[in-house]
Amino acid sequence: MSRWRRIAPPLVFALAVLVLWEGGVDFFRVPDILLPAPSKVVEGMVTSWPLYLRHTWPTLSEILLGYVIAMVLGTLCGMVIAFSRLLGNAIYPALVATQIMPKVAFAPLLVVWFGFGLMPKLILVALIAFFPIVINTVVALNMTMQESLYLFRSMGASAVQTFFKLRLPAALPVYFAGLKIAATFSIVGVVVAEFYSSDRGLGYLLLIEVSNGDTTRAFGSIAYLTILGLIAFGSVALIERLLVPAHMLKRFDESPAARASS
Amino acid sequence: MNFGSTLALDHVDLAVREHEFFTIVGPSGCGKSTLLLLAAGLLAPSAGALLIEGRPVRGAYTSAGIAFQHHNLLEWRSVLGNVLLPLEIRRIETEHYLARAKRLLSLVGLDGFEDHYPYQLSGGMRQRAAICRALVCDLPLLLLDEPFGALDALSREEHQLMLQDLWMRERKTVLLITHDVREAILLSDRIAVMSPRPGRILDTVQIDLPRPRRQDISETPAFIDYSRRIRAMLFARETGSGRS
Repeated sequence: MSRWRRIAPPLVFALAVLVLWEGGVDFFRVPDILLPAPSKVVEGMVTSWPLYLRHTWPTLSEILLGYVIAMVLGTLCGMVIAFSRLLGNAIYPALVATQIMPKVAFAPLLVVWFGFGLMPKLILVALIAFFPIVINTVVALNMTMQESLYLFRSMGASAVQTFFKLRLPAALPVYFAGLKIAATFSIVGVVVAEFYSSDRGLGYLLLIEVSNGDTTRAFGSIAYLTILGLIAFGSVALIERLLVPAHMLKRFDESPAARASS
Repeated sequence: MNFGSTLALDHVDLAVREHEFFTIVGPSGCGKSTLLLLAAGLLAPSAGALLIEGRPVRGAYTSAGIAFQHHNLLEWRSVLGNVLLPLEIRRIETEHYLARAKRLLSLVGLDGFEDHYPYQLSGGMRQRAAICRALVCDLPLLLLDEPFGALDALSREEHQLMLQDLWMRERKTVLLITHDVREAILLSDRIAVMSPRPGRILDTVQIDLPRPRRQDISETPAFIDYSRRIRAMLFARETGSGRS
């Protein structure tokens, strides 16, 4: 009953938006090239699925590889900043400053530097996903309270024990918040990179469809990109659920650190 | 002891006896928490020395259990998991200590809550779990920094008696830090009274009241007398320099 009450309002709202969209397009006779009805978009998505699928694989692999690069580098970098006071002081301000810089602005330059292959896409995805991961890793590893560290020292804990029994588990919720943000960011990166330099992928397909005036198919591409994003976010959330007790997630999703970094 | 650039403690000279319940009472900001960290070897004094059983302590002193005002329980571990943590770290998870952990939990009324998580407990229960964690390794010294400071007045009184029970059973050497004069007299064998920052020890008061003490002991003339003496010391400066 309460579960239904939680699910029903957003479902009804989404359905209402779709109905309004469908009805509005029909009523005002909006041409497809401006805004296709949702039913036509879905129809195109279903009938042209082999085409979409063919362009999904390159995009998916770019996201996956770029994301893994960002995760490895971002986590390592964050750990260095969190654990070395000198390096942290040196790197962190620059990092926060560059976080404001719009990473997608590098897309055309990446073509100049790396051409049209896989490389510029990986770099843009990695670049865009890197920052939320580093920042959240730093914040997450500094979440440990001083008194807890005192307690561990008085128990005679080694550095390894302190890391695995205290810092790491305490860091996970905020760390995963960063990973989830990065997952959604990586979709943005991949689309922009494909706009600039590609002959395959959903971003490339989207560009071609728009220039052909096939807005209906373009909406289909956007829908498939959204599904990719949901899958990326969902996979990270799933791993998080396996590793972090539920009662810790509730609290940290509302924490200012998680909010500030999003 | 220099803390940052502020002198937190000035010429503090304390000797705590074995099996004694020793309390430091003082106004907030007098450096009494610093003193506890010094006693635990978690901070190094800028001058002077800490001796335990006649030997100087260097680095963290690992033969003391500590509980702070905040419980510092690990929220991803159950109550029992938290109490067993010191055993895990010291790699002494023997049958004997496991039994001790469970016995301690039942002594403080947490039996049946072993598998609960800290977020499912009341403030007082978390504090009790934290004290069990400090006691589980059966170490000779127990350091307590305002362990009941965040509790409401009524449960604080309950917890004080519970602590007395535990202490009479276990006979650890206890160093308690508090700003609650009543709590200090109720629980202690001796009380050191500290001045405001930079903290100095004004005097040490021996409390000769029979145990076990109950809360209504605070209405006896002897208790009121101790209370008066200690308060006079604590407030001497303000009233002395002000309205006299």
